[in-house]
Amino acid sequence: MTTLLMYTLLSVLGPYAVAAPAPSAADLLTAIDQNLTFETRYTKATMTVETPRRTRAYTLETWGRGVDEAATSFLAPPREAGTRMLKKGGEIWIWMPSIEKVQKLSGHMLRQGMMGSDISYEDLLEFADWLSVYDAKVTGQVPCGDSACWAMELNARTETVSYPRRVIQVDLEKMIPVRQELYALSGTLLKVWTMEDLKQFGTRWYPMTMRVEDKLQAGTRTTLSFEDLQFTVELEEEIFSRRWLER
Amino acid sequence: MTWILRLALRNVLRNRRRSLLTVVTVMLGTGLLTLGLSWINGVLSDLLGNAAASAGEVRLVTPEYARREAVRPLYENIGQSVPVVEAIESLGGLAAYPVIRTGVTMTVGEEIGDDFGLVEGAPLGYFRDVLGLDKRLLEGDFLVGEGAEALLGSWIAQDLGASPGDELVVLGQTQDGAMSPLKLTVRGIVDGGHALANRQAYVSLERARWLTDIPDGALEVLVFGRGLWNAAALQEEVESLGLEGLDVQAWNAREPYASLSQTATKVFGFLAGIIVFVTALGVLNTMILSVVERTAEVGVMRALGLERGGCVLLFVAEAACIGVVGSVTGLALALGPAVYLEQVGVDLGSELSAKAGMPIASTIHGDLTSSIVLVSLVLGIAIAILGALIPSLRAAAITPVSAMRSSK
Repeated sequence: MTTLLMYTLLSVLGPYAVAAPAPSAADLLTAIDQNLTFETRYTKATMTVETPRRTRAYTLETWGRGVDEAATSFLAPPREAGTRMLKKGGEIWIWMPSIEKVQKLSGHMLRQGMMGSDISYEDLLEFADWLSVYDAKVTGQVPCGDSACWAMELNARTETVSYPRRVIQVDLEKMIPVRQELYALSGTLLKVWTMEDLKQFGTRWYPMTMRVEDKLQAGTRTTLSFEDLQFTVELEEEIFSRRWLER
Repeated sequence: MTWILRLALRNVLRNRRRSLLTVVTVMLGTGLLTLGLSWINGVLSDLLGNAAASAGEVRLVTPEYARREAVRPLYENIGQSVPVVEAIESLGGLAAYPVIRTGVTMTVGEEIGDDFGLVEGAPLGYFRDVLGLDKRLLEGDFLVGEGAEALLGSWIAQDLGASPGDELVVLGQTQDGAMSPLKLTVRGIVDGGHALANRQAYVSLERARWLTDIPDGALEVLVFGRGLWNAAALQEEVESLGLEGLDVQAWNAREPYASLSQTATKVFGFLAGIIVFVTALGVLNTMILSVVERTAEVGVMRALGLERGGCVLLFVAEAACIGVVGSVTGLALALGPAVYLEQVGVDLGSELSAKAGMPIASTIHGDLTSSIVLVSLVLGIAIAILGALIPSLRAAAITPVSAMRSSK
């Protein structure tokens, strides 16, 4: 009986009992940062936006430099082809070919979903350095999919951030936040952001698929699948200028 | 009988000053009645007509759109509007218009601004035959075909500084919530008639469909053809088609129009009642006085052998003569101002219309109908007769001697 009890306890608690001691929140966030941030990056992706009534797929190319500069060009569908977006210095500009005008996004526009997706323009502007914005703590280990994850809780020091509270699960080995629950100040769950199909690029891991669900809208989901993903690429300086937008 | 009429006419002409005073009172009463009723009818028709024009005598929407209409959920649209329109028009004598209304920002010039307004996309027949925008042009021309053109309401045009020929950029959303821009040419500036209509841009249905990315559909299908007050019957008629997944709503059965219709009808009914009451009071008072002061005369006539009934009949005939002359003259005098009110109207000021939050026109027009003319005429004569009947019955009931003494 005692042996049986021991087996039972070991089988349940085993993975956790042998787990390494919890790293500090700062160490975890630094490790995440090393995976997700880059000097330069090029991607080609498909963004699939699912709503209860219909599903739309967008093809887009993106170019990124650091955390502050990003350029996006939509290739399909025909209605959106030619639309370009530039994120620079905390601002977002968008080129709309059908009216041949550049629009700076501000105010309420930033809270709209990019192309009607669950990813808002504000999400694109989110400051990447979580350590300077949030008080973070590791709350323990939790099972996530086939492996285990560190559970973290981030609470914003200011009310100016889009998501004052984040509950994160970080893959124990690959140091990717595979699941994020994003909460409002009121405690309402706003979005769930997952990162899947983790792939190794040299020393870094990166998700090939991201899914975002806006929990304020019933039955919507946005999936971003990278078809081509390259880090540390040569990028023309012009890409991150308004001239490129209107080119 | 003829001798009573002849005598009544002679009596009317005998005391000309008194008769003139009574005729003038009836005339003023009838004139006031005609003007007041046509004014109230005009305000009511304007208000409810505007409401029904934008709401349809009956409309078809998805139940979810109806439930969440306040936020204009574009994705709760009627995906295929053509079969719906065809089914409704097969009932005969009906016109069905698919309509898309969506909030946008509008800009004229280089920088995209933040002037909020509404874009209304519909078949041109709706703008022309229901809203009458082709007759409300202030500048430029009416829309032609389904091109990238817009009519602008006068207020939004003023805010934007827009003129015909200018390039108008509209920034809205698709049904998925994606930002959606539209470049148009301002073809004309219209006076939509009320604040809400004057803050709109009117575009072809095809343009609105592109803007909202609802390729073959609409948010609402508005139905017209049975008249403002037959909406409930029309609702049943359309419901009999059994169009699945669509709510059929009569304009006066849904908010805010139901409350608006009920309140307006009650308020204007009350006002009409006051006008009738005041008019009746004036005419009755004059008629009663004019009979009472002739009580002694009643005594003389009774002493000379005139029966009680004949005496009452004489006064009633006199009152009828005065009533007819007064009412016809009053009506004739009121027709001019009533037609002026109908044609030109009275400007209440754009501020009042803007603050109303309802389709209340900034210029209120009268609406003179044949029933108002008839009611005014009949009431004018009837009140005059009633005013004479009551005191003459009393005067004829007393003895000739008492009646003759009453003048002393």
